[in-house]
Amino acid sequence: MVCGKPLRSTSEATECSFCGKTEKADYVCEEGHYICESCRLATPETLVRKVCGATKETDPMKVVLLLMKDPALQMHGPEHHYVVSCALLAVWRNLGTFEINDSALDEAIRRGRKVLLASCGLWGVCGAAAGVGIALSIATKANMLSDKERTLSMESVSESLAKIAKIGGPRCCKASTYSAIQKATEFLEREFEVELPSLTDPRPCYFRNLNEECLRDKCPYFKGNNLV
Amino acid sequence: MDQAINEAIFRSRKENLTPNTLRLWQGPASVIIGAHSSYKDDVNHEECRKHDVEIIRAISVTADLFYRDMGTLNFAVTANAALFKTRTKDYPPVLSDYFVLNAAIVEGLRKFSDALEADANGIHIGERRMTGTLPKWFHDFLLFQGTLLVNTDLDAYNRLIKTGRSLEKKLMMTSLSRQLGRDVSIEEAKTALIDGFEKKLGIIFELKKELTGDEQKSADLLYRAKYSLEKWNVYGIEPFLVGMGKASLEVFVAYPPTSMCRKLISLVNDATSDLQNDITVRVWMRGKGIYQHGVYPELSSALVDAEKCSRIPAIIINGELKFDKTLPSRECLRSAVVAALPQKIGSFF
Repeated sequence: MVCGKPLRSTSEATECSFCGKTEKADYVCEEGHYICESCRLATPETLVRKVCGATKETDPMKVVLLLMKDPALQMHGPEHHYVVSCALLAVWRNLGTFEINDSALDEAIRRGRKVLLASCGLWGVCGAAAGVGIALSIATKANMLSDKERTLSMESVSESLAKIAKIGGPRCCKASTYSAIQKATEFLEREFEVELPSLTDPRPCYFRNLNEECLRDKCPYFKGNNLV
Repeated sequence: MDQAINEAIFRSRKENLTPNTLRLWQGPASVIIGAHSSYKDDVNHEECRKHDVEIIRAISVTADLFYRDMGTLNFAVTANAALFKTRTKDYPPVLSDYFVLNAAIVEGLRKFSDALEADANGIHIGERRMTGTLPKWFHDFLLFQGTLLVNTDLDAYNRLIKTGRSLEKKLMMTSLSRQLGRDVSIEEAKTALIDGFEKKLGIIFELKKELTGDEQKSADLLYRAKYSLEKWNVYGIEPFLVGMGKASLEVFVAYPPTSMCRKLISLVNDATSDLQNDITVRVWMRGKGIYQHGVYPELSSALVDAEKCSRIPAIIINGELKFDKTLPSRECLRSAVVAALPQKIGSFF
């Protein structure tokens, strides 16, 4: 479910590894991970909203890795566009970097939904990179009339996009998400002098054997190499 | 019925019940349209009615269409692509499987003329075409059916096939007899095709004059549930049948199944327990991939949509979403299942 370990049946009250809700569980894995009934049936939007609303995590890579392991999120798909922005907003909220209220996540999902499926190939703008801009724009309350905030949002997208473009194709929403999170973290450190307590290294990619179009050795996240 | 027979042999081949097969036959005048052809626009319906010409839709990946009559030799190759893999290297990489099969036909027809040539689309002599083909794939298995115009009425061909892509093609059609300036019998052409396939593919055919019991049963089911119905022939909507043409019930649930999903699975098992011979029930778990039921997955597009749109749990019968996010009553489920059995479908029209 979360770690890939075998499941066993149980009837104990267990906390959901996704949304944090405690309920009488039916299955847990050997590591004690459990997904509540509601998360198992959730749409990607509901899941992302619930998880990012409840998480206390300060490592955005851990948040996106958890979300992407849920079956509600396909291997590739437009839900990755708001996964990036919601994970960043949740972590910035937890760190107190910006004042992020509950409606910020809804707004990020609303904006992320408008980024077209396959926009990387069709517009030249990967939705994961746009997700970084969406998060920063919401956090800094930027709009088209803003000065510095608008510039920073655009620069964050531009730098994320450049990093994602270097990976090559066919597209991989997982690799793009990793790159966007890494670049957003670097950007925040440089521009806002905010250092995250930790940032998980996604290598080797958890999804490498599940993706039929995996770039394998060409991808910097395929194994524990030093190409990132 | 011949399209139902082709599909039955194709299904039987992919179930490994039938060897690679070349089927040759003649049939009354009819227009065969591809799965993606337009019934309304591509065929001259007035002429068809006047000459009592039937219009039948075939399974295919293309939108091609052709006319055939008693002067046409119909062929259908049903094979695992491994049969021609070693031969495709001699041809351009795109559509090389079709190229090999058309080259086999040309090989056989060489005894009539050296001017015949093959490409991925068919057989031609100069600018004129002599065959129409409709390929259909299921993973590694190919059904490659087509027509060789031996003594076909080319005027009828031009009158009946009306618009679109076919307009350009029909003007270029010719027949073997017309090109050679003499009558060629269907038997001569049949022998030539068999020789050509045997030589080109390095195989020897075993002659069979009848379908196997499974093939016949499957053809009857498919005719009743698909090929005899307007739903397929006119609108191109087909029931999603699995295996040899059994009805299909796909249950889409969470992984691991929630309490609601478990209830749904029990309900389905209960409502279909006496229909095991007529319906295939498959439980698909979200996020577990497409190989949950073997290396050649058969899953409907409605199931793919249900996964993409998080319609879970869901029940899909013969490729149509019937219930989602709810537990239907046993009566509702049972009547939906019974109505979807191939032997029942035809009786509703």
